[in-house]
Amino acid sequence: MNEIAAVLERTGLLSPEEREHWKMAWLSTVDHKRIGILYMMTGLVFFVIGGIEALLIRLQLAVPRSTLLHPDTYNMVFTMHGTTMIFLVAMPVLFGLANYIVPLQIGARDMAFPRLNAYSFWLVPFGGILLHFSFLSGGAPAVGWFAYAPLSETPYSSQSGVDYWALSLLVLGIGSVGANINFIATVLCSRAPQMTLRRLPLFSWMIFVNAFLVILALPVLNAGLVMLLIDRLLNTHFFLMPGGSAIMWQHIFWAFGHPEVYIVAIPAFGLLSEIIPVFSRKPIFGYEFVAGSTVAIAFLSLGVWAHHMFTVGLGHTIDLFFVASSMLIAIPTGVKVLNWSATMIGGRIHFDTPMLFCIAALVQFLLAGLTGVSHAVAPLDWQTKNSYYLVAHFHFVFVGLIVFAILGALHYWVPKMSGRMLSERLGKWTFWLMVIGFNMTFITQHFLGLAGMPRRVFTYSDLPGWGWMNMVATVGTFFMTAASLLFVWNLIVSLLNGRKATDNPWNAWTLEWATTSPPPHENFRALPPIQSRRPLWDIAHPDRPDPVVGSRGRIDQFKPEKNKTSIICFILSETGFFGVLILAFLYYNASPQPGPNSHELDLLTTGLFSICLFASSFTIWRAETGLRNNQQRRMIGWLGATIVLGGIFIAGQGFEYWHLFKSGVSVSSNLFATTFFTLTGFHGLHVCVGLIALLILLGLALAGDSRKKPWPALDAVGLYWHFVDVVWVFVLSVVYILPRLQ
Amino acid sequence: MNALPVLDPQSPQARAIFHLAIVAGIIFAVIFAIVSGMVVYALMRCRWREGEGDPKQIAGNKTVELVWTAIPFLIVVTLFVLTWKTMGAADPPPAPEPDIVITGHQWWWEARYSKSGVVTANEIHIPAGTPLSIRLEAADVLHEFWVPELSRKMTTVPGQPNNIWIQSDHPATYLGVCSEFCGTQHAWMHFLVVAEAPAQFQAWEQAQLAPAKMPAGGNAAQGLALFQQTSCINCHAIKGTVATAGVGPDLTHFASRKKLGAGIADNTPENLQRWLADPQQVKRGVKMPDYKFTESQVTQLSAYLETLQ
Repeated sequence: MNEIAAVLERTGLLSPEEREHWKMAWLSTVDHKRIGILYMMTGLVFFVIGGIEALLIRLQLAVPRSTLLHPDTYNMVFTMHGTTMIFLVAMPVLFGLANYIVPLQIGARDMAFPRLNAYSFWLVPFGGILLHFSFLSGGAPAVGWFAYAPLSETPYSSQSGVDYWALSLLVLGIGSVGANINFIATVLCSRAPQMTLRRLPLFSWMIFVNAFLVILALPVLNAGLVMLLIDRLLNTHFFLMPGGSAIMWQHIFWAFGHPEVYIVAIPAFGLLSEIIPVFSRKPIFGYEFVAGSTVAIAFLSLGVWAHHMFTVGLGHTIDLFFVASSMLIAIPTGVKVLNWSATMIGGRIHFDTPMLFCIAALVQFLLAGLTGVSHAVAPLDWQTKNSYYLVAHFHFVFVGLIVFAILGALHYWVPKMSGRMLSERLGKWTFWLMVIGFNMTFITQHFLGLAGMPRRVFTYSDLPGWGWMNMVATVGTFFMTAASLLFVWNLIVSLLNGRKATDNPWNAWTLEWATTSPPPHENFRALPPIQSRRPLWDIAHPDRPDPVVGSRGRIDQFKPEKNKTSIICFILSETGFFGVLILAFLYYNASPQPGPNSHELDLLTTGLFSICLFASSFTIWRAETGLRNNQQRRMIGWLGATIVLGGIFIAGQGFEYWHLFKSGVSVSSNLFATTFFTLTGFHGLHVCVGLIALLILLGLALAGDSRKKPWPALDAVGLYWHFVDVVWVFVLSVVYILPRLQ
Repeated sequence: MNALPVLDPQSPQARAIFHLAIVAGIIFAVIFAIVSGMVVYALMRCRWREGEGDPKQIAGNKTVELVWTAIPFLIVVTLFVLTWKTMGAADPPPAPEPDIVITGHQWWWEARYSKSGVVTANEIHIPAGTPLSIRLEAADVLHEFWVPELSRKMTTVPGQPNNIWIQSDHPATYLGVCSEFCGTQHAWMHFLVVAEAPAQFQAWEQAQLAPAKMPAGGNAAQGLALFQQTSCINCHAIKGTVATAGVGPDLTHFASRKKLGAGIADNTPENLQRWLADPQQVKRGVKMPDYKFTESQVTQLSAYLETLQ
């Protein structure tokens, strides 16, 4: 194993002092560059697993009526393939790239929160192992990556595969939210002084916008997952008859799931926006439009989810709303494609491997976008939905755009990361194998869909055309496999004896190329001046620098405090979680049902302990004032009062629960009880977390830590505590007061 | 059968969708040609050649941006209007009372004809030229009813009946599938839609209404006795016998159907005997267990079931 350490040291990925404990140096790292590489390595491992699953799928489907795999095995394999590729490959690799590149591009020393960064990363392998543990516990989930209820419910999937699936996605979702709060805080708070928001390189810009989408969308999935787990483990029926709704699961899942598509697509847009200009030797055409269209896409993507549900019978009115919103999203997306094309026109295009991948990604995404619009046209979706046409469409997005963009980006940035160039010869072989294999497999599948082949079938009858088209699709996967192996081989060879990479081998213009390859631990010895979007262009061409981008606007200088920023982002993400639970309560209690209802609740007692919780918002505000006025003892007193008031609230809630249990009301009594305990229980859990944070603060304050100035922890916890109170205002109104008004 | 049934509509509903597909397809093709044309132009004409320096640095053009935001907007508006119009034609509001109630089960389709009372499975007969209002229900999980030539697809949802129209202009037989993943045997949840001339359809309906004929004797009679004595009657119904359960497909006119096991095999005596000997060998995971019938029992049961014309 010491050879690995030697190679790492030779390429500069390990300092000589770390040689003896190189494994720990990497595993315990909080350096964004190493974490970025760990993310990508994890993604690569799961890519191998997900890739083998893809091969199994294609082998099984190569010929009609194949008996290679048992139907249940096939169903597990395609479920795991989808889940793995999205949550354990696409997201980790893109977050890893962002982790590595964004701090460098914005001239930062590291991410805003290096330890949160490490924590977010480690949740990925942990979540991945949790998911794969299902194989040992009686079988992987076999419900598809969107686990439609009621198939995913205990009566139809009685083994624990779905439980592992849900738990693992919860873990991964928490990790993603952590990572993306960090991206927001890093871009907003850690960028170099001259790196104003309007000068941000487009990749960093898109990761920044994307991060908001992640923190808004993932908690919606988390809410759905806890509801599914409560159904499965506590015997309730959110998504099961009688009373429950299978459609509700689809709304929740796709309210996350469609933004999720953009969560992995927007970073890929960012990659194309970086690489195409460099190899066209021209700045991006229409920077403002490329950046602005990203914001438009992110916004719109939150309102298009039900285009996944055109065939479940929502009615034409609802369908039409989502037809309109889904079609609108094509406009900013089209603007991007046109701007990339216009960047190439009039350029001097260099056909290096990164550019080849990006050109293919651009054209393939053009097709993916157009077939995407065909799904927004509801009547066409009524035919092609759930057929291989759809399979072809989304693989054109996930592979045709995203995987190609990632491969382009790796060929582009690996020299920066390892200090060694990749072989162009191997790179071009990788590209051509990939582009041929990909199009063989997935262009064919459009026609399979038009031939009427539904997705997720483990076999098919020998209908006209089906056999040979499936065979072509299968052969294509072997080309893609060869391309993947060749790429890994290229990585290894380049690490062992690749040509040394200079600081800026592609003559690129963003800051990551202003430092050594690989960059030193602290990233930059000295930053070049930044006056435009291409600081390195300005240095190389002092005679014709880019126009200076203003730095005096309010938005340019916006640089909030990072602890506050991160807690506001966290609160934003929690809003999505509680939003779903509150809406679920309203939905399931819209009509009265047999069994316990909100009249069992004692408004007076609850009102009393609610007052304690509301009062605690006041006391923590007093504590903050005390800190600001440097009155330590007063601050500690008010902090203590907050804890006592919060404790009374929790005790009151405990009393209420005990009372309900005694009168025979439990979480599985009926949907009122289920939604009541779910909503108030998760709120109570948040109060408990707040109390623990407050107790830690109290301990620190008593130990004298709060004398250090500044002490931003109190502000951050204070904001969280106010949020928990505000949530209770909603819960109290919806659960206790609203039903009494009816 | 056409190789691309999605593009081979045989009903006014499916044709409305097909016409929209043609218009949209032309729009998409033109867009694809223009944009990929831009890219190809750049690749051909804007290559870097050895020794050339950097080109003129053009960072954008507001007019161009506005034009290529506005044009797609107009295209989107056009597509939206076309979509709106087509939705009504392809998917009209349901009749007050459905003609057929079709229920998705793991992994077969049940069809109940509201007016005549005919109950059958996996083979839906319709009179050619007449639009029929279909109500779709689910007995367990989600399924999806899809006959590309005849109509839109529609999910069957437990507790939420959905409605579609199907119609066939001419007498013909169409293959339908379940297109929403529904568990182990999702792949074999096929059905046939048999469109017949109205007179033939009426004859079929009359025949389906009749109770099963009592076998005169021999293997078939022993098969009937066996059927009524064993677990068969816990799941299946045969009109005219003691079997009335509704868990599995109604077998009253089993032998008149073309396919076995929701499309997994042709309905031949050999296949039926394989099925009875061990359904799990024919359709793994199917809800019908292996009853470990002896060879002679299989012969008797199959002889009986073959009489159920």
